[in-house]
Amino acid sequence: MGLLLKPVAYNKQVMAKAERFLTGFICVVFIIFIALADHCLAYKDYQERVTEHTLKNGIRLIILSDHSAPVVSFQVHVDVGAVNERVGETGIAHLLEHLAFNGTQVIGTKNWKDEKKALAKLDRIHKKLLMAKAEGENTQRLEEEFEEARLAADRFTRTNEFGQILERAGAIGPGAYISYDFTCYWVELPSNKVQLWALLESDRLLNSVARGFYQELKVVKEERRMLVDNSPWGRLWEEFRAIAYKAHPYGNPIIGHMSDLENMTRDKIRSFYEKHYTPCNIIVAIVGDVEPERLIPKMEKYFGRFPVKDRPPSVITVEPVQASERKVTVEIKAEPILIIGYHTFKATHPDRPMLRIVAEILGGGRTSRLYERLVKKEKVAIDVGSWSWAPKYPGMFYLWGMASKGHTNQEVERLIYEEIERLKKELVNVTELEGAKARVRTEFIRGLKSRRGIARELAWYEAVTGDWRNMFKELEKVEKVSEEDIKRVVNNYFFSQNRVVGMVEPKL
Amino acid sequence: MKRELKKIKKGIIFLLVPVFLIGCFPKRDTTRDFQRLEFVELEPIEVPEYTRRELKNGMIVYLMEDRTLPLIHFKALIKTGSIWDPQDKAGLCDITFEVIRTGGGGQRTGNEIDMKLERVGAQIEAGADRDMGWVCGFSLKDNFNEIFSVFGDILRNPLFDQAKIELAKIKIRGLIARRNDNIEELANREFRRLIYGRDNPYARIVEYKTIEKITRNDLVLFYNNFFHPNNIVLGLWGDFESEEMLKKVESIFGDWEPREIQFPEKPIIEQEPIASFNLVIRKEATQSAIRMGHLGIRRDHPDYFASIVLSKILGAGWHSRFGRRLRTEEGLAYEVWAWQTAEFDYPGLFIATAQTSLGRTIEAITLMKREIELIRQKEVSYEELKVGKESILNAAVFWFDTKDEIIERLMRYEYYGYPLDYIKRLIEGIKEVTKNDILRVARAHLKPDKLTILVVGNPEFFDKPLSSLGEVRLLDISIPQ
Repeated sequence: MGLLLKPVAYNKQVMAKAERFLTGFICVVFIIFIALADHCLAYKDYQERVTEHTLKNGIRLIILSDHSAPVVSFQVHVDVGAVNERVGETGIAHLLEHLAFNGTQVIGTKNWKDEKKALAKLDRIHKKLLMAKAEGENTQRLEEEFEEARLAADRFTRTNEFGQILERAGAIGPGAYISYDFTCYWVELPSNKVQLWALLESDRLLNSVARGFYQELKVVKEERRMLVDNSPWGRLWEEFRAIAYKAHPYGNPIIGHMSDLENMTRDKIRSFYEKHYTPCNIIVAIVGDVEPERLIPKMEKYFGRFPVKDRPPSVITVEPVQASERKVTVEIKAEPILIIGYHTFKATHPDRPMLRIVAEILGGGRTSRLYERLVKKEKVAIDVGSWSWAPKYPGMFYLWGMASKGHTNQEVERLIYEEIERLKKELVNVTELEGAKARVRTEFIRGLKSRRGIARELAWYEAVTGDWRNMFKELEKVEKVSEEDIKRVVNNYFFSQNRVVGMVEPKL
Repeated sequence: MKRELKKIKKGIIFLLVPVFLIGCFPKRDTTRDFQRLEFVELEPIEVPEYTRRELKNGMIVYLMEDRTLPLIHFKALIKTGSIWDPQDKAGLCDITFEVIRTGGGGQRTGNEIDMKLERVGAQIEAGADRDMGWVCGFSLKDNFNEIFSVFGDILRNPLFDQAKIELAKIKIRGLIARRNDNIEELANREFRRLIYGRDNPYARIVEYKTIEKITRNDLVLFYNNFFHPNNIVLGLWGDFESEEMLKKVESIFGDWEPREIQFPEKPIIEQEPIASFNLVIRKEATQSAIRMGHLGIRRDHPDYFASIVLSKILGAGWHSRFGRRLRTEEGLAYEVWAWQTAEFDYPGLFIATAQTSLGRTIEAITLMKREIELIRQKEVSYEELKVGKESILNAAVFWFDTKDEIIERLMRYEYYGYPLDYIKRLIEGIKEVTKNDILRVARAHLKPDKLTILVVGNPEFFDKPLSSLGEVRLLDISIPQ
């Protein structure tokens, strides 16, 4: 039930640039070919084990059979996130993600008919309460009335029943996470519980009643205090995004502004839910001990019972080109932190594999340029890193650094720029480039060890790029990245006018 | 004949009526009958085949083949830990393990090793906690031989380059400077120190002055004390053939001479639990971090199995009383739970935690404490017990769903001297836990009147003064320069 700030995407290369080595030793080429043949098998086999199927109502299924253990990993990817929220309603997608665990007309209630009435009464009092607060009236009486109505509604509740049924069935999870672009619900179960999952998951996905709303709102406010307000990284991140995007909703906090949370209502939740939780917005990835031919009819029975609805509109706002560099400083009692960002592109952009490699060369591992220079050589930072974020709408390339004791953000910032300038002027050397590709490749192969990881990636590629196969194709693209590509993209995106800088400066 | 025919017809009609009637009713919607589902039994869990060998020099080797991906993983557990750091040189174990990895090995400098690994996407990392040290990594199958020989160099012939020792110190100083920036981390650390004792090796922290004192010679001594083949459990898993792999292991580690190891006395933990209220004031905090608890049990305690079920019912998961009552019903906190940490080799913690808004701090403490009291007063319900046990036992299949966790668990048992089939005993043990066990164990091991309570937050905004609960001790967490 956390906030996903960093949707991880694995990339991988497929075939080495053999030409490069032909001038070298024949045996080297030979060894590389053997090695690559092996890796190809490793994931081609995975790709071939995937079955895809679209239910009659439009829900897409991606199933990968893996019988190595009697367990199954389920991942429901709903194409809605913080990016779909309107002014005054920030945090609604995340709150909904929480409420999805509070049950339906069947799960989590002792008597839905009576509970429904009690909830309606509670909502009416809440509305009055919000109005009274807005008018600055004394709300004590209303608050007492509200508390009484809340307890009355709670009497019909079977607390946490949804999670309890799954937990008792031997689940890992259930959990959920949300990003700007999507909401994901996951759980892992022993493979004899597939039908139970299908029943519960489909019901809560399309029949959620947003029970326990007012208490969950309190939980979410605590989550906000914990992850954002009480944390230097959280505070900086929120400020950074706010200046990085002035038009596009990527600038809003996923968890929501406190005042929007204070004024949230069940009505708002309901209409957001009805608009976005539609079959065509849902992708289900299932990885593990299942037989697709037996699973699909079950999916049709449970997930197929929901009516087709219109596809909700996508975000039309486009972030205007930045006119000049933007900077923000958060002064708090904490040690320095620096984040630098450059506006880039969305997931389907052809430059994506190149920046993936640039992130590796600049900030991936102990031999990366920033680590070598800032940590090992100049000793101004204890850690540095970089990451190319290419989501559904245009994202950013991030660099960050944590100054070592007695050093400053400014020193870290200056050296990062120096290293970027060097990348702009000189071609990277081949060993460095091949190393970066090798790291991307092993990272991908290691990613295949996790059922949940595979399910997450399949669903993400299907949702954001339109085809899960791109998860595997990505590697071919990474492999083709050349020294010249690196130089070109760095010059293309990494310039001061396109830059956003955020720092935590210690308050004395 | 006619009559008989009539009879048959009647019979048919008689038979058809109910069928017809059933057909008249709308077909039952079974898509929401979760109680009616039946589950086939899973096959019993089998531990996959593995090889355990002891080399002539005493090194224990575990091997497990896993041909699904072209990867090989390796991990060495070295019997040591930071509990054996000299008091005035706290941090020695951490720095040693950092520089084992970064300071070069055999014929290669640290930077050369970094290059060698990262050029082929391989990794080797080293680290240690209070009672375990490890060096581990992975590589693609094709690069394994060269990477494994680097691993051998790191373990057998570390160079401890002075420049890398300095670099490690800079990193640790940076972490010391930042150690109060995260309130959660701060609360966990200070709570541990309250329970085990501020300077007890099981809780003490590294300071600038203890780091300054550490020299290269200390690292070499530390290494010489503990890094011997007879003090190492080595595990390999992945895409290989076991007999062939054993030969490789022999060729890298076979001629490493064993030596008798003199372990110092293990530190004594002698804190008697007493009720206390402790406060760290953070003016900028928007939330209180609450920790409460006392010294717990070791994992080999006969009450451990019942303790797991007890924790599950009291404070962990959707079903637990904490989860239902404090999170969902009270909306008290995003995270609130209680658990026995039960370490392998020393008493763990009984700890309950919550992060709540400042204005509900005392309320939260009271509610958490009440739940701990209640579970000691009367037996849990039959349903709670059943659900608690089922949640654990049905999920036991996930203790075996990857070879990584199976072999790493075996290595841990070997390392701490637990029986290798301990996981089976654990499952059997949990099956046998009764309501009465839960009550007995709760009474024996939970001490609500002797809780050490720590709050990190801004008391100006507490719902009531913390002193309304008892005498408050202010903790000084300023970092000694």
